[in-house]
Amino acid sequence: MKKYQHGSTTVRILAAAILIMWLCPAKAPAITGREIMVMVDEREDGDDRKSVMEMVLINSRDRKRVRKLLSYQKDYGKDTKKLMFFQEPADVEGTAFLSWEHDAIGKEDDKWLYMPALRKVRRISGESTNEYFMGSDFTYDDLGDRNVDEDTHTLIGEEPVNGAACWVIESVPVQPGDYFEKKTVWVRQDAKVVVKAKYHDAQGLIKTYTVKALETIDGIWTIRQMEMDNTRENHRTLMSIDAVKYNTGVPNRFFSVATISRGIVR
Amino acid sequence: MRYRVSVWFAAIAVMIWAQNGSTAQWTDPIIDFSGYLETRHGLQTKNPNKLLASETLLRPEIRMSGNNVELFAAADVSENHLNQDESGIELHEAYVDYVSSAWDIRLGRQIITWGNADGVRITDNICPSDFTEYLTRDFDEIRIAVDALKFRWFSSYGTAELIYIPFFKDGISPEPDSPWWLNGIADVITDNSHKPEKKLKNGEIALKFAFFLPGLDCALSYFYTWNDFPVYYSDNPLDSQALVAVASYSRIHIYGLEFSIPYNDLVLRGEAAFSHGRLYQAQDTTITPSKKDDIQCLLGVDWYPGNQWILLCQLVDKRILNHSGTISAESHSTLVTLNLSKDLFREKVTISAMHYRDLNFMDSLTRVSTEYQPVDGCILSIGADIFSGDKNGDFGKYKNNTQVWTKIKYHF
Repeated sequence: MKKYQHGSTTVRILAAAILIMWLCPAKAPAITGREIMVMVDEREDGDDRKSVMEMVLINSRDRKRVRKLLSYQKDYGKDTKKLMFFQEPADVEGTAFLSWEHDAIGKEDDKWLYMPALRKVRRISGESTNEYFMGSDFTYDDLGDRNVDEDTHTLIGEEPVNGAACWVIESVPVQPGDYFEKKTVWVRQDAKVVVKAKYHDAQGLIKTYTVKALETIDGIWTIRQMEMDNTRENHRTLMSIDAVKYNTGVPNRFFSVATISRGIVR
Repeated sequence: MRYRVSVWFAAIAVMIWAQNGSTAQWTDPIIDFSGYLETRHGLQTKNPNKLLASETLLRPEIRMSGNNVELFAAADVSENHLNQDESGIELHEAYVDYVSSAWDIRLGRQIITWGNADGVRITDNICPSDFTEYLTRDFDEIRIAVDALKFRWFSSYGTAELIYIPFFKDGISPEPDSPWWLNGIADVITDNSHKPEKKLKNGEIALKFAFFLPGLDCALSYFYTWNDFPVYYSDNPLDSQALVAVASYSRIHIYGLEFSIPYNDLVLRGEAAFSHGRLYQAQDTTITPSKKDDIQCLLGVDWYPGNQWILLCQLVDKRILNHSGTISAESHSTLVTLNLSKDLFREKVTISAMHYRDLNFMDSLTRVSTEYQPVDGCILSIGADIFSGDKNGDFGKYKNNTQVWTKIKYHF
């Protein structure tokens, strides 16, 4: 009887434990900043994509200058090939830019620039990723795929942006030499898209990136409008992305020097 | 001859049609009208402070593109304020492009640029030069378009290019009344009877294989051509009172090599050309020119240090093989070039300086300029072309033509 009572107590304790475990599932291991940035890097964006980009450069006196270009991109595993054909303003029409962006750290990108006035393609340095692109507030690096492990990422919290839940991550370059020392990014949890970023250096805030319009096209989260506000230079750039097409099947040989040397592509 | 040319064009048309099938490829063509208006003026800084250049140029361009076919034409409508004879309208370029997924053809008057040199021509010999104002025009205006057929086959990593130029086209030298005409004697009769006639047998052929690989570009080329500028010898026929300068031309085989290697924020560049059978003028001008082989090599470094700075440096070395001592050209000559530029105020202002220095004569040309864009498409430029050094050198002989200049260019 006593033995039975002991067994009965054990059974009750076990049952209570199972009930508690069932009611309160084990807390999932905490996600890291790096894991979030890997998700951002690897999110679905089609095998290739085509779009028309328009940049409005706005200075402190609200004077505007417009740049327009046609962009093609294709993924090759973690690497990406890009083609850009400049359409506006008139003095740069026909200029074309080809880049093969390598994801591996330490492997330089390959870049070529076609200058229509000279009818000439020039190989340019793959290192100049911190240069501003066409006088805008975006650097080549801002527009490209930076390898996740070029920065250390720390999840510092969660905060909604425009009503959407976001992770907040602090990213610090591993190697010194970048124009920023720290970048705080807000990653929208449902879309795995960076919707806001603040770039800092030792003097403070340099510029703020904000996604103004985000929508799904063919089931793929697509940024349609974004702004880079350069606080330090009191200058900002509004970039709109239109005529977006995914998985067009553009052939590999299109991403070649021969294509940019024709200059204007529709 | 015309019949043979027609057969060529017909064959190309059939090839394009066969590629397209019978479906119309010219549906909903896009028509694009663009171009620029430019006015430029250069003033000599030394006595007599003459205007060395004063021209207004309108270059309208039209482009019509269908699915695979594109037509392009550009004209020059110019008003030379110094020399009315050089004013007028002429066709600058006009060609048709057909683009397939693996090859393309361009047929018509076109500018073709080879090589990776900056402001120097080593393998870039397809288009002859217009030296009406020596090197003081923009480089895109110095090349003369040629009537040619260009066929390219391409892949992701390279191109094979075949160019056929049916008729010889020579370069343009300054006229005797031009301030840039400094060679020779004006009162001479030129005998141009040896100039290659417009016959297909005098056509030029070029072939190039170029590879664009991760971390390396390289190219091999061959060009079967003529010397673009005649080489003279004097003749004094018994029945003539005047001196006759006989213009000589000869076939040249040019074998070329190019490479570019990016390394961190540098790009290392090289270009070399071996020319077989180039004509050289004799020191004694009554002797006919000699055919020699020569080698030109260029090594360059482009540096992109950031903050919109670019520095390009080049060393060019030329050697004439089996130099007999009887020709007027130096057996060995060396040129260095430096090109520095920086964009400021979000590319609204560009400052630049290009310097050429011949190490044989220690003479030089320095071109400094500042460009300002008050609004997109409109570029105001001011600058100076400074010639200095030994008057026997190619740059020093224009010592008196040092000029300041201004230019306004509006793109539409």
